[in-house]
Amino acid sequence: MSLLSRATRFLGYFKKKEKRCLVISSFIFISGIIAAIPGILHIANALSNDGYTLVSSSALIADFAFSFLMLIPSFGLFAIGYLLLEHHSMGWKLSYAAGTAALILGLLGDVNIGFALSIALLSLVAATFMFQDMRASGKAKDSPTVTENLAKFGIRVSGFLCMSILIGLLAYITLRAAPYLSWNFITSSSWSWQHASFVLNGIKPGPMGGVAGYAMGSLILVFFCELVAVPLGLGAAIYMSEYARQSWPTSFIRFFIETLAGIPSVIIGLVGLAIFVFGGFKFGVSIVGGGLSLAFMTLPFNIRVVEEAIRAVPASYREAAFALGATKWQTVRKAVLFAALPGVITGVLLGFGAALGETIIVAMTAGDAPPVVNGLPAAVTRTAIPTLTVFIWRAPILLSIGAKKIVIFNNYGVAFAAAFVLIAIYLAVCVIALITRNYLSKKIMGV
Amino acid sequence: MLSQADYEPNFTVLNRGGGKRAVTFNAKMLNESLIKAALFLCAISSIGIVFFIVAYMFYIGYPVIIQWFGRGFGGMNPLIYNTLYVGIGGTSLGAVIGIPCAIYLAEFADMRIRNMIKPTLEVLNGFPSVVLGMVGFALVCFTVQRYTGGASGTFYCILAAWIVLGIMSLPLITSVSEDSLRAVPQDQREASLGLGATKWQTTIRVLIPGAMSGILTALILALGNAIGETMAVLAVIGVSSQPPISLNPLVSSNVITAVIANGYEEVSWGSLSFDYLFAAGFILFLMVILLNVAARTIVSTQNTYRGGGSNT
Repeated sequence: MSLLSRATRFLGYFKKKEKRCLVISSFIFISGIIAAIPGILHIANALSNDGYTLVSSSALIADFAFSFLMLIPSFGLFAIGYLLLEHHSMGWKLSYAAGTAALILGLLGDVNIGFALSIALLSLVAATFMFQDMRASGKAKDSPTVTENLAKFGIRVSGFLCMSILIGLLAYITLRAAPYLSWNFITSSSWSWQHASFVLNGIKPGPMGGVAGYAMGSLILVFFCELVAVPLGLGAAIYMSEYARQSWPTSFIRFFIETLAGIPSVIIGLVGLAIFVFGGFKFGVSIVGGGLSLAFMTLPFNIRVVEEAIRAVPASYREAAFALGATKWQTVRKAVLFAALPGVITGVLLGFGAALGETIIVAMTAGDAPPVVNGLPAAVTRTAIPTLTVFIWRAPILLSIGAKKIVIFNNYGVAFAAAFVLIAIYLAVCVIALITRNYLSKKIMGV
Repeated sequence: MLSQADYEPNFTVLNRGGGKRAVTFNAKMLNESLIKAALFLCAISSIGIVFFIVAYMFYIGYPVIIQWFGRGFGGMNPLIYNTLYVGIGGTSLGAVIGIPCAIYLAEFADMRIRNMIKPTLEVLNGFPSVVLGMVGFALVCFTVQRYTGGASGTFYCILAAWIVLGIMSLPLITSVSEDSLRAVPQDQREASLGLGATKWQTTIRVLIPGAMSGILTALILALGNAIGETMAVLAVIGVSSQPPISLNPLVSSNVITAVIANGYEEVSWGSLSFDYLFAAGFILFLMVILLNVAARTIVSTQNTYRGGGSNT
């Protein structure tokens, strides 16, 4: 095939206006991103160098000069793109405009604003592409007026913004954590704040130590909490959904369950401190005290999710079991709970994940970050247990004690690295929970 | 699911004498009622816990609260104002994204996109607040500090707390609003569409007014959560002992939860300062419980209204 015929075929592709617009807009979008590479490098440089220290005024001016230079090609691209996209849909135009705006502002040299805007860009692009896809398959169509199209585009963007916020958070944490993450940091269970601070300041060589002990502490604490909260929550949910009549005592109980769900965690921590730690049972800051206090927080969540799962079981299951002569409890245990199992497991796992991230109750009742951690504590009472969330909370402060100078950026880097480990565990729990629901509900319900 | 053994009576002492006597009570029924009692105990454990928490806080805190009332509540006013200011700002920010998102999920999104966004919200719901607070500190506080040139003297600012609380309230606002939008009867949608309204007109003139009470409930519940949120706010709000009563979101401030979280280890157990923490906690609890009751009232009003309206 000769070059000429190739060119003719390529031009023939542009005959349809719609396709031409699509190709041109993608081309401009991609070249906008390519033009932004210096800006992205600039951002990466700022991230890896020192995002935290305050820049001097001369550095700020240099930043702005750099950005204004970059503005010229960006605006040019934007103008050309907008003119070429004249006949195309509002979505493409808006996504292009937002993309350009994000790049421009990102190029202004501010890492954080640039980052926030790239989250917005992500959702705009997702919204646009999804809509293009849906319109191509005939599932969605434009409204007759521009205002309605804009409004619909707006709500679509806010829908995807939820997703982009999560992705952005994960990306940010990973970026910040990356320089401090190592295999040793994840797997080693010995940690000393003083040693870590010396290593960060370059006084001592060698690995910093790791947060595995802290991670195990978190898991054990939450496991103990669920040991109390799951049976209690399961029982309460079964009573509320299967046994309770529609009467005022029932709504009274429900009111109190909802109230317990609304009690701020700091109050639960305070009262846990009073009941389990110092006064009352005198467990001290420990697994038992912390786990029981944490159970107060998890209990209403467990009740709600289990009740939702039980209520979702069709009435025909109960009727079938009754018709076979089963008693109430046999029906509940063997028909209802079995069918509700996927929902129950998912709910309890999500509660497990939420309890993993709880900080203030844990810090108050299970102990502040111990100065030295070597494996797990030997006793279940009167021994502070190391937990990841308290590590994250305390790292910036504790790492600056005993050091020659306060290196805020490094200290936050270590906190972000620990946050990365926490988020990894949390996401693993969430993914298992969501997969369980999808897989088991297919398996059990047979649909 | 049910095995053969379950159909047979497991214990029939009273029936043994030829079946003449009426069965009044057997072991199976005893078993059933014991189980029911145990489940009931599980259910009322929440009442016990809540009652204990409230009673204990009041018992420890009431001398201090009475003292505060005696002095015209002067010391507590800035804290309460700032708690509400931070909470309302965060909830509004969450509402700006959350309510459109709920409309999108309930009315416009197809199944595929819904299945992508809903799990995201579930993950965001339990996201560790201490990490969110740290990200808020790193992203927002430093940016504000950079552009205001350190006018407030510290890194901390209310704006960062708003943004963090907005992200945290997003899942709750979205899911509750979406549920209430879905609960609007189908015939109302069809009537509106049948009159020639577009889908968008139907949404803003029929669905949103119909779901208004649900959306309000979502906002009030989110406000309650935002007021009670500790770690995320603590990381960005600052530690000023005299929080300002101002509308400027770029200044450092303080809220009740942060006061308790900062204070609990600086004061010794059993001292008067510790009683102050309990008193502050009790006032926080009162604010949250009032919001919860308001939300419940709105829900029950809506139910009566729906019950009356559905007869048409």
